[in-house]
Amino acid sequence: MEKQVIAQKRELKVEQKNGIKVRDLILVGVLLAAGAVLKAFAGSIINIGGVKPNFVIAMYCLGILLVKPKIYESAAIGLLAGAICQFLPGTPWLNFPSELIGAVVMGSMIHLVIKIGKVNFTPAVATFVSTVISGSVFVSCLFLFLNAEKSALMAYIPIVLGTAAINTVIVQLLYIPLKLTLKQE
Amino acid sequence: MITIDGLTFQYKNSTQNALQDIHLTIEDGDFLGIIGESGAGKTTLIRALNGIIPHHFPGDYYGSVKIDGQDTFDVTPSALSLKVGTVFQDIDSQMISSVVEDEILFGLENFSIPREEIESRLSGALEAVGIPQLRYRNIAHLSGGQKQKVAIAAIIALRPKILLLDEPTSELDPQSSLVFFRLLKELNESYGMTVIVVEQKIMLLSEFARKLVVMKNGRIIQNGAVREVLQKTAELRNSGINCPRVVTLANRLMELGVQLEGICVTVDEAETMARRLMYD
Repeated sequence: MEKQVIAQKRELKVEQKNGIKVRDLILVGVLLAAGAVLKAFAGSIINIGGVKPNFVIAMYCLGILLVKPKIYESAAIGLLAGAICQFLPGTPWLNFPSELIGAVVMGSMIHLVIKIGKVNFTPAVATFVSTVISGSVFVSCLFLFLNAEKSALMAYIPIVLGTAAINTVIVQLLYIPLKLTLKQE
Repeated sequence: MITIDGLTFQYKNSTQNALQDIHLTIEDGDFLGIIGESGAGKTTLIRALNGIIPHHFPGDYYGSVKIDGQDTFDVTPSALSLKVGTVFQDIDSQMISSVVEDEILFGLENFSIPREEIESRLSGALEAVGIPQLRYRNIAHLSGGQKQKVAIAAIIALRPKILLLDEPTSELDPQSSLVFFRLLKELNESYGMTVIVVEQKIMLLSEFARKLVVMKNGRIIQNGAVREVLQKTAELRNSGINCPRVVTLANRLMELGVQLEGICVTVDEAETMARRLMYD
């Protein structure tokens, strides 16, 4: 009787690489570049009572949501965002600590599950909190290091909250179509 | 030598095998044609030969493909590409430079070919495919046939032993297709390069290839010398392949009892056969 040989299924050994994948790095880079361009041009067009969206923060929040990096990788994304802000009009250096802390907060919040019914509100909540914290750090630095007028403090609160609200809407709206386009689970 | 042993492959998210229990041996210096209807598994077989499967297309993989005893499963496609060069169906997607010279230099520089050897390989490759005059031309301004030759020049500059081509004449007119196959024959005979070509134009394969593989539903259903395979007209027709008319004529004559030495696969052979029949 003929002996039947059944071949074994073969599996490739997948090398576990540390660090962010090249594809994800490109995605974050493109989002940050888009954020910089939007902040430079569209940011001054969209102005609701002095409150403008901060597209750089919105884009790194979106990038962190899509890529799901580790905390130290989120910190690197934040520093990169801070560096990009140096080329845009604004107060120099302060974006480094503000975006660094904002990105770390975002990176630590992405794994939370905040759902109402079937709708996932993690992008919205995480973006709101990150933007508020990033804005708060920025304003704190302004007062600590640049001796800003203390009476101006109250004026910054609605600006930070308003920016956070607009960023929240932008990220929540863009997250789902981008996630579907990138076929992420 | 290429040895394929029990190769079965199913793409991820697919429900059926693209290749099913393939066994095939291809000797050094062979000129092999692969033919079959759409979805027969021809392109998947090419991808398995150059290692793109399983390294870039995930899926269920059984069996082995060995190039000179080296299992393609265990080496990366880039490591294989010095031995196996591939011309893909969509030639534009293969071009990465804007100028012909840069296109050929790309592979040479990336494989760290010694500087003093680069010029001779570059000019030699352009001469071999008959396009030295295109060296400084913009690739975007070239015709389909010229782009095919640039792609081949870029590959043969790396001096691979095996040349894989996936429907290289799909966008060429009949005359350019003929010229292109003459070039493949020249590379095969002069440089001893193993040529494996997926092609739908059976007339070209019957004239230039020495061996023919017929695929259907992921399986090899015919494999042998071209004349031997072409005699099986009915089986080929069942696989969606129409034999060249001269082959059909010879097969029909033999069915009718006419004594022939064998089938004819080219028009010249058919003419000789007809003259012999008329005057003998």
